[in-house]
Amino acid sequence: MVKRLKPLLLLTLMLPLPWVAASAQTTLSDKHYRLAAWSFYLQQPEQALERLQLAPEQDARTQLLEAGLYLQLGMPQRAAYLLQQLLTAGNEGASALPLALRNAALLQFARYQLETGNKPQAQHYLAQVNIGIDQQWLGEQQLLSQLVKWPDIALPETPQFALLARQSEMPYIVSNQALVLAKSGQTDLALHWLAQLQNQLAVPQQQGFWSLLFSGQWRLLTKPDGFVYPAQEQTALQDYLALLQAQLHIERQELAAADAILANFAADSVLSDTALQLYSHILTQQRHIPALLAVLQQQIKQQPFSLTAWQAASRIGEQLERAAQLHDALGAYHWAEQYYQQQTELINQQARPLQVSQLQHGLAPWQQLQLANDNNLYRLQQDILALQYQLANAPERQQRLARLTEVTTFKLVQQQDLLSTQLPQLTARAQTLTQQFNAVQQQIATAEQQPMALSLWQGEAYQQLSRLENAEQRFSRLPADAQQGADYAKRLARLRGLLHWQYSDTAAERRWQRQQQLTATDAKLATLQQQLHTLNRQGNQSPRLTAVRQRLAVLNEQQQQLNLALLSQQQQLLARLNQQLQQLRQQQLASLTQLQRHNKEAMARVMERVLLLADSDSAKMAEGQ
Amino acid sequence: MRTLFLTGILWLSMLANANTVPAADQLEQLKQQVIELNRELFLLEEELLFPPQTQLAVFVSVDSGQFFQLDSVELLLNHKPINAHLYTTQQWSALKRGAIHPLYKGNIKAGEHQLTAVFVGKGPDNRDYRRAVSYPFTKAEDAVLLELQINDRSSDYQPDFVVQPWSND
Amino acid sequence: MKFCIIGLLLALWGAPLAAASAPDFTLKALDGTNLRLAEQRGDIMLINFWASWCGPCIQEMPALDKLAQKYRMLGVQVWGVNVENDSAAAKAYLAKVQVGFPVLFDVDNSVSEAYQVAAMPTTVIVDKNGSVRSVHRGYQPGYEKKYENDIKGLLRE
Repeated sequence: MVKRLKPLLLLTLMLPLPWVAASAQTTLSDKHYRLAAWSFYLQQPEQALERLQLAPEQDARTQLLEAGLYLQLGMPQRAAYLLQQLLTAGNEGASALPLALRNAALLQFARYQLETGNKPQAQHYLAQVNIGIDQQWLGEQQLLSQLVKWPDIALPETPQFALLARQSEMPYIVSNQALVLAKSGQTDLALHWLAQLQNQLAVPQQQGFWSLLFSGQWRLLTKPDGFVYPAQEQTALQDYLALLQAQLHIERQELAAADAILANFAADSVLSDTALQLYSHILTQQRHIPALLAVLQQQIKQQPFSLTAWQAASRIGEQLERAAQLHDALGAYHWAEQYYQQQTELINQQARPLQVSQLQHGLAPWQQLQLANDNNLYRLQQDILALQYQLANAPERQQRLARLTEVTTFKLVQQQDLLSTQLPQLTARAQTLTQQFNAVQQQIATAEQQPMALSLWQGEAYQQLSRLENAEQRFSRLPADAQQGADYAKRLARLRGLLHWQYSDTAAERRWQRQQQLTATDAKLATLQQQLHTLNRQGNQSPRLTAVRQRLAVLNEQQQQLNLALLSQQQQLLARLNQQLQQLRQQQLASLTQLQRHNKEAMARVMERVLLLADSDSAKMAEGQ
Repeated sequence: MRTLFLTGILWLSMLANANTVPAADQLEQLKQQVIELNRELFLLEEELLFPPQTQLAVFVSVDSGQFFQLDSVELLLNHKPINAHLYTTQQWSALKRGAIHPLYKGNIKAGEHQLTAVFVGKGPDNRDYRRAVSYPFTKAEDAVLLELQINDRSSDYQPDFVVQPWSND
Repeated sequence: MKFCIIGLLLALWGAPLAAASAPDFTLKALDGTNLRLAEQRGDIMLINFWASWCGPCIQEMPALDKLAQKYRMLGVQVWGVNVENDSAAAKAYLAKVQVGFPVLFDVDNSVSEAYQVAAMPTTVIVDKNGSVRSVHRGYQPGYEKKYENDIKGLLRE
């Protein structure tokens, strides 16, 4: 039942999305919300939830969607927790929910409380629902109200067709009200209301929300025009109302009216079993034997393995016996005996312990029936299948873990290589280069101190200066009187002067060139340092990678344990399921045994009557002679 | 005797009921564990398989989709095809409702790149439509997240194709 | 150009197709729409791989068409997947012999590979939960009865 509201809730949540996009909200959280929407529309609630939970910020809207997704994933407790947080949080501020969504959350939560048996809480949250002018959720609110207050529900003067015109729950609200009226003895009024309701339904309605609500089919959401099979729901509802009317007629002893309804009841209706039951009741009272026999046979045909069918089998004989058709009665009882035998055999054949794979496909008819009729068994089956689904995804999780471990190991090896070879080599080279650079820089500095340092010259000028310096040296080594050629000294001085002038002239340019070269080398060195820095940083990943590798090992362990837990839980539930099935089997076999005994007694009784009659006949005949 | 039998049945069914509630708890706990495991796997994958230094992710979104119906998108990186996607009706309506499609996630080297997106679909008058948009970008230290937006240009009722980078805030 | 998505499980299990999840794919149909297998979850799918040069494939078409019509309302879909790199011949054929079910084009053969299609034709039947339940290779008159039996069995579940 919890499923019903979910699709509507989620649909409503998704509708305001264009509103979001238009309001120029381009934060990353909004992107996450919209990415989650993609998974949602593609019917992958696990991915949608994951996306949503990875968003950096959460607001009321994302929380509500999260709650809805949890419900979709069959995790009502977490959904309830989120809803509770959402509803007890303040009503003010930008993070507050729009009214419609708040109402949706309250109703969902109230319904959850109701279904877990907590009426006071359901009442509490229901009371906070504040239906706005647009009357959205009015129907759901009224219906839940009825369920919570049953049978002291609100009873208006007349059915509120106008008020509930756009609410898909309208037929149920009104029919419930009719039921309460009937209970309090106002069967006339109840019938009148039901008749009015039938008229209302004859008018083609907006099928949309209707089918979605009652079929609860998730996949209907995604068809572009919205909804499929409205006719089915329409028919079911019509049948339901007809049955209610029939029941009321029966209570008022208006058997003919009830007969009229039930005689025309469709055999393939979902409510056919109930209809047949009612019909057989009134036919028995009215003593319409042929029709009754037909109904009993229909029950046997339609409801195999059911107490109804089994009782119907013996009732055929009983009715024939009552009508003094003794030979037919005998035949009927005989047939019933064989029928019971057959049913016993079939049950014994089909009531074998189940495997998980059979729960998906491969159930025998008897097993299928038990699972469909018993809430506990149905719940168990669903849970087992849910666990199977989780187990089926285990290989994929394992693969992801394996891949991550592989990549981590590879990267660690890379790191190793980086740290043990590449990095040291590069560092050494950088060091050497730096040293060289510094050395050259030092040389230049010292050389620049001297006015015409030889080391700073090059090419032709260098040669000229070298020759000049050589000449000066040779001259200074000459004896003093040889130096008298002041001419020579003057020439040397002049040459030096010339070269000096040349030197100064081009000094600036050459200094500039030197600076350029230095700057260039400096830049290259800087780049190298940068690269080194980056590599160093990359090399720093080792601690993180090691931590990750450890974490992956832990996760691997957790994954194994999780799989074991899933499997063990599944086995437990399966054992419980099979146990309950066996109990049912025993119960049913016991019923059959009892019926068979009853049947035998009946046969004996009829036989006795037949013989007595034969005796008295022959006695009469003898007397008559 | 009969009442005893019936009470027994009632008690048994109550017992069965009482047992199913904790079972539902346990199942939910297990589901929660799976969710947490998956989340952690996802985060580790983001870190190890698509680190920001090399990550390139491309998304597709639509404004209201009035002027264009998307059939397929093809992605080329530096003129080489890297991904393509065919959109079904269901997926298109998801986009129109505001969903964003995670089209591609991969790793690329640092440096200059060019992403080209080719949109194929039906234009406003139901004619076949084919548009290519190119987007040059530089890959540095941060992850490159690009959103391919199909916007409505109401000035001439034509769709507008824009490549919008996301900032990582 | 790759236009389809292959399910992960197949890569994982690799082995016989039966009892595994049917690999997901999206292909373009004859009418231009794109159809994705995973979106049909809840329906029983009969996927028929065929080629225009294969006699039995052509022979089988009318039977498939009838089957498609008969079970459409009960939640059964028939999809034809043409595996030729050049769809011209197939389209020409379909223009002459119109079928009522969607025909998709697996131009780069990625889908037929994923389904390990070796013989022509091959018919794969997938249940409502997306699991492959039977694979029929080749065609001889009367095979459609087998398909129908498979379908009926799956409908009962």
